[in-house]
Amino acid sequence: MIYEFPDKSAPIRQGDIFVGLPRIDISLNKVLIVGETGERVAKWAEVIQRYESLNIIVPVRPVTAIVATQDCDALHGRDITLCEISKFKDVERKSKETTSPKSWKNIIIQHARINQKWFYLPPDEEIGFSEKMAVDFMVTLRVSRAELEELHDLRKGRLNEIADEHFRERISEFFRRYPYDEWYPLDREELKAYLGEYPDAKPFPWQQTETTGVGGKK
Amino acid sequence: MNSSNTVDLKDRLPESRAIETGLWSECDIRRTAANLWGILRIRKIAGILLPLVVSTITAIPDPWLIEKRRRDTVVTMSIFKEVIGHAISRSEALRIARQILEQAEYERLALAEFEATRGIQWSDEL
Repeated sequence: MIYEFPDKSAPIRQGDIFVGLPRIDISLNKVLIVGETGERVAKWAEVIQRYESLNIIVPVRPVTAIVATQDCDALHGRDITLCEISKFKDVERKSKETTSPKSWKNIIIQHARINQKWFYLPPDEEIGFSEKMAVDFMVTLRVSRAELEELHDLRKGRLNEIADEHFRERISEFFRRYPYDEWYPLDREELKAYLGEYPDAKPFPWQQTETTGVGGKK
Repeated sequence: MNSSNTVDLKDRLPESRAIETGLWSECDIRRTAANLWGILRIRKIAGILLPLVVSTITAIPDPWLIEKRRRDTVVTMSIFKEVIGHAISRSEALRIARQILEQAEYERLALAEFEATRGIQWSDEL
């Protein structure tokens, strides 16, 4: 499919796919401190007032991930940032009931047109994907570059040229997004329809006048 | 008198007197005293010099002492610092850690569910 399989000695690049990397989850409400007198649990707000550094227990799960760090930093940087790869149906829940090829086609090609939070990865036996997968841009992990280089057996492959180019653009688009309220330019009727679907949206001042249709001025 | 010296123990009864035999002379006694004085002087000098010599040997860092001090410091600091939160058992800590992991995964899935209800809904008609 869209993958290639570099030599083990090849340097790490953006788009490289690794298996079995540690994804750590920390709770700021329950910091599990390891001390010489035993374990304690505390809130992070308390911890930062007392400690400069400390040892804690963190849960970790081995996951599949793709290198997000750009090539130059992946060659020289101290750390490599990766995004987790999960089952497509878990990342894009709109597809959880999808079965037909036509529906799948509609979902997959959409991310060429709109800025999604995922990057589609088709199944491929050689790389180890038995079903449709997705890069979840929302979940990142960070590991030492030097130590990741030593784990070259965990690199199962990388995106081919065309997929890598697409991935590079998609990830940069994802991280350059800015938040805005999508309903701000809607006129009264459009807003009414929008509020029917998303009642929690708060109209802007120019949308609150009763007598205006489009725009805010009478 | 013969050449032997006698010791007259005046405060004792006559029958407890004992004749001490041997070559007793003043010079022997003085030489012995001088020897003793010399030995004492040597010991005194050695007593001063030895600690000086030994102190130079033990002037190198003592790893055991350093380790003990470090450990004592760590323990002291730990006791001082570990007054936040509350104590839990190791098994309780591991149980909470597992909960944190599962909660994070559940929340990611819930967010994906929420987002799936918003935005463009794909269908066969698209």
